[in-house]
Amino acid sequence: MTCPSPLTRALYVDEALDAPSRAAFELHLETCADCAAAIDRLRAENAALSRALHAIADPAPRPLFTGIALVRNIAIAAALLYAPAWALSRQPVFRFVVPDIIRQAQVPIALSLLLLTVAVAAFRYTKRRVGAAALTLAIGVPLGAAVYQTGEVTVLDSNVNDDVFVFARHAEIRGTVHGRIISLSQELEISGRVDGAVYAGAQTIRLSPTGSIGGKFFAGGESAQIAGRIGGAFNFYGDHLDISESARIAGPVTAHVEDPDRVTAPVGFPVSIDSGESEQSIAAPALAYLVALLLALAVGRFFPMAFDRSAMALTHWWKSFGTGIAVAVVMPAAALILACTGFGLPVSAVLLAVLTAAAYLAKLVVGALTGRLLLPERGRFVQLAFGLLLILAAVAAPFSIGGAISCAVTLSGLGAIAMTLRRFHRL
Amino acid sequence: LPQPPSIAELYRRHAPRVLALAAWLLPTAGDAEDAVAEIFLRLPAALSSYDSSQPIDAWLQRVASNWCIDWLRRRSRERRLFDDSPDAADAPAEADTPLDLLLAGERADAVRDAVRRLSPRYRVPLVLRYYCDLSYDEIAARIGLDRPQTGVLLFRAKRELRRQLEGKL
Repeated sequence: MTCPSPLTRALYVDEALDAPSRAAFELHLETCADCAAAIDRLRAENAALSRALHAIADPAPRPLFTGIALVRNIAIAAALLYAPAWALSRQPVFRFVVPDIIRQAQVPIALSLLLLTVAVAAFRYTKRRVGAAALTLAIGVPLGAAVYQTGEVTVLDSNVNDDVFVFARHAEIRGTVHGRIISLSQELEISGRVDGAVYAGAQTIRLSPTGSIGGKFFAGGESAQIAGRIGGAFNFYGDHLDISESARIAGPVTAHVEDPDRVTAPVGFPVSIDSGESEQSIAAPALAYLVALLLALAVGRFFPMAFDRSAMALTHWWKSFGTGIAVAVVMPAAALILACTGFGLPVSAVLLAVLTAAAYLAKLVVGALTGRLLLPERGRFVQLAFGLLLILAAVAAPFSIGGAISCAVTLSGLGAIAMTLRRFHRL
Repeated sequence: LPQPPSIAELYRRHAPRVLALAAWLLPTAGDAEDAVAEIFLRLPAALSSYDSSQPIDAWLQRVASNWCIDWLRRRSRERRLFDDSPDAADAPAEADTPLDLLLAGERADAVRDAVRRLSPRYRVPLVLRYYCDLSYDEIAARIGLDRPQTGVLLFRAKRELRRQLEGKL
């Protein structure tokens, strides 16, 4: 008689054979020394396996992450972000994460201080790698800012028959450009002629009396002085706008500024000011909330795992916060470097678009976790709706507290998303 | 009526066991930590289905293992994580070194690594059987197979574990 298969023996030892097979096997076992030995061996193996798996001590779990922990951590993070910025500049610079990091030198310095704090805290309380990364960044950020500050001065004196991309600390257009100008610089001055449109982001923007722009002018920055000619519409996003007597603007002029008193123009000059005041009505925030809720529902529906895991990554609050800072520093820097290479411009644009989208998603992720922590017994929809409402309300808080909260929430969520993507990538 | 225990109290008493189970079932320690956070976050809703006649630790273990199996299912490309045709199972392996001897020579963390390297379809039944001490029928119910299929998976799981441990020597 042939012996039963090893599988049958294993099933027998584990008492998983049905009654007839079991009886048949027991009959066989009485006469087969090989099988009896195999059975003893299997029993010993199973006992050893059970011992081995039980031998490992239970790991210590982290403290339970509660709604109180979440609120406290958001508050600490917001204070950490707000304090150095306030001390350095005495003004709320952290309204938007991305533009501000590129915008002025105070921010890299503030960030460095903050990162040093994070580095010290991370070395003290968590895994060393986080601390090392924060320390590297804390040293790297001001160095990068210094390089950026002492960057090239570009003077364009000749005729160009094409579009021009300018990335420099100080850019000056004296010649003639037959195409468009796209510029990201600290200072931009146009005293020559541009036939096409101009899209410029700069701290200070100047259109000299001799300068002329054939198309529309789209300018974002701290201040702009317009003394030349603009053939199309003029849109300004920033703080200070100064239009002098010599300016000739064919299209409509719109200034998107917070404080209308900071716009000076000759008497009778038609400037429409969009100070965002109209958005103070209930409709705009309600719409923003609805859009956020719908988006969060859609993301949660189509990428349930990524969305849930990002929310869970937030329970490692300081790790996600640190990661978020790193992402918010590295990605715009990488985009800037890529943009300078010219051919990397599309990649750079994609990178910034991804960062912007992720920064928005970040709030949704934090909102989802907030709802789950504060209303644990409700359904997912109620949790999400409530969490988002709370986060959007906190972000809209007055006296730039909202800005600091927004920044803390965005950075943490951004880090959580990055951590999750990294894990998915690794799998 | 006795009050149900608070989440904080449950966490304090049972989180280490839940974390240990998740650490056996899931691929990395980070995944296990997230799993514990998520499981306890869902607990208030899940408690409504808790029947107080059974011990809470057994119930929590079932909730946790189901959550982890669900997690693994959602992550695996094919839906049928544990589906396995039983035909190729009986490859003779008579000359193998017995597992108990292999295990005796290993440190605890080496055993854990070897178990972690197993594919989920083998790791899950192995852990449920030898860490949770569940019967074949209970394991079969949790992974959605019948008893013979579960037996095949366990049989192969031990063979794979043997290979992992031998590969290390």
